[in-house]
Amino acid sequence: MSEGFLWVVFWCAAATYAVRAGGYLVLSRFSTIPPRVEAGLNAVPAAVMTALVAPSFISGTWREALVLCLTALLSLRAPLPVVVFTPVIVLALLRQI
Amino acid sequence: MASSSREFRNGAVAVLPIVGAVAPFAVMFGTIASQANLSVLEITVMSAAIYAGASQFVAVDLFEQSLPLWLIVVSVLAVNFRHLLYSAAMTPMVRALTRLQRAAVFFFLVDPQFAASEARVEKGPGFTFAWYMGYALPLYVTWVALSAAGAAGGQLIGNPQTYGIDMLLPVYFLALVMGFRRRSRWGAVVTVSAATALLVYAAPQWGLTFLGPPWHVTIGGIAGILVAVILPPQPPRPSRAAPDLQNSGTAHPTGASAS
Repeated sequence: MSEGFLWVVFWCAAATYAVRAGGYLVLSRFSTIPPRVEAGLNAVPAAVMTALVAPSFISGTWREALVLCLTALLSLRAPLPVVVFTPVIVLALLRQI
Repeated sequence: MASSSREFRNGAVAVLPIVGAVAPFAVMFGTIASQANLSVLEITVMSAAIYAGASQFVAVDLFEQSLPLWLIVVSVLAVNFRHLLYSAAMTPMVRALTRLQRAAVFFFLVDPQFAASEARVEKGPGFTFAWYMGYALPLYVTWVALSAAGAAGGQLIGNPQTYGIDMLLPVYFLALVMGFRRRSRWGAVVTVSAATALLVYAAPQWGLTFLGPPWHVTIGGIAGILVAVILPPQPPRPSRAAPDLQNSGTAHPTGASAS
């Protein structure tokens, strides 16, 4: 193993662990979480996951965009496994066209 | 409360589709990293120590260009900054754990792991350490083992685009986003987050080359969170489960005694 790459791995792993523990280390200093902060934390999963997914709507072809719309519609009614696998199967079929 | 081994099993079952989605990317990572002249051992150690898919692609790419160490680390931080928000949001879930358990929770805190944990708290079963590890270990082992396999030259899995597997993660994340729709200010949060992320993502086309991926995740996410911080909170809307509960609650006593 080259020493240069070993340092890259070491520091990248340390940095990644630091951000993964960091939010808790900051927040656990509060004995009670202020309401506005709590409102923000409550929004973290929807906000960040939306930002992760958003480019998928425009970066692919019409098929990928259509399949994501189908996912959103299905999720209003169907259980999670159906919501996840139906669009993937539909996409696989659409790509055969 | 369910027993630990049962909770572990529940987690392991829940993660199976995600394991299927991550597998081709792990092989792809191993293959790409080996093309950057990294050894199988180096690639395996990297996946085992960092365990953060997207940022590992970035680190390998920059290392191959012989860029300085600090620049590689800063880029990895930029890609992984969202995890700071995850661990902050998980504070109420992990407060009761032991120090060692918390240390493990943070090590395995990848995107689907966080989203699934939040969804589980939302749906009712709640957060347990056993469930979390049941979800975490299959995913971790898959990531490390298939990076190694990809590095060893095994094109185990063909092009993920042939099937729909390359879209499985975006579909999963979107389904979970929709699952949070009864949370306060969800509509505004999602709209602002999506709009900001798309603008930042497309910004390089308009000459703003310092933006673009991976910044769309952090900036879009923070914009959405700020909406929830600034707007006054909404009272929680009744979930779909509520009317059912009410029905069973007001069931006639005669019906209950008949059973």
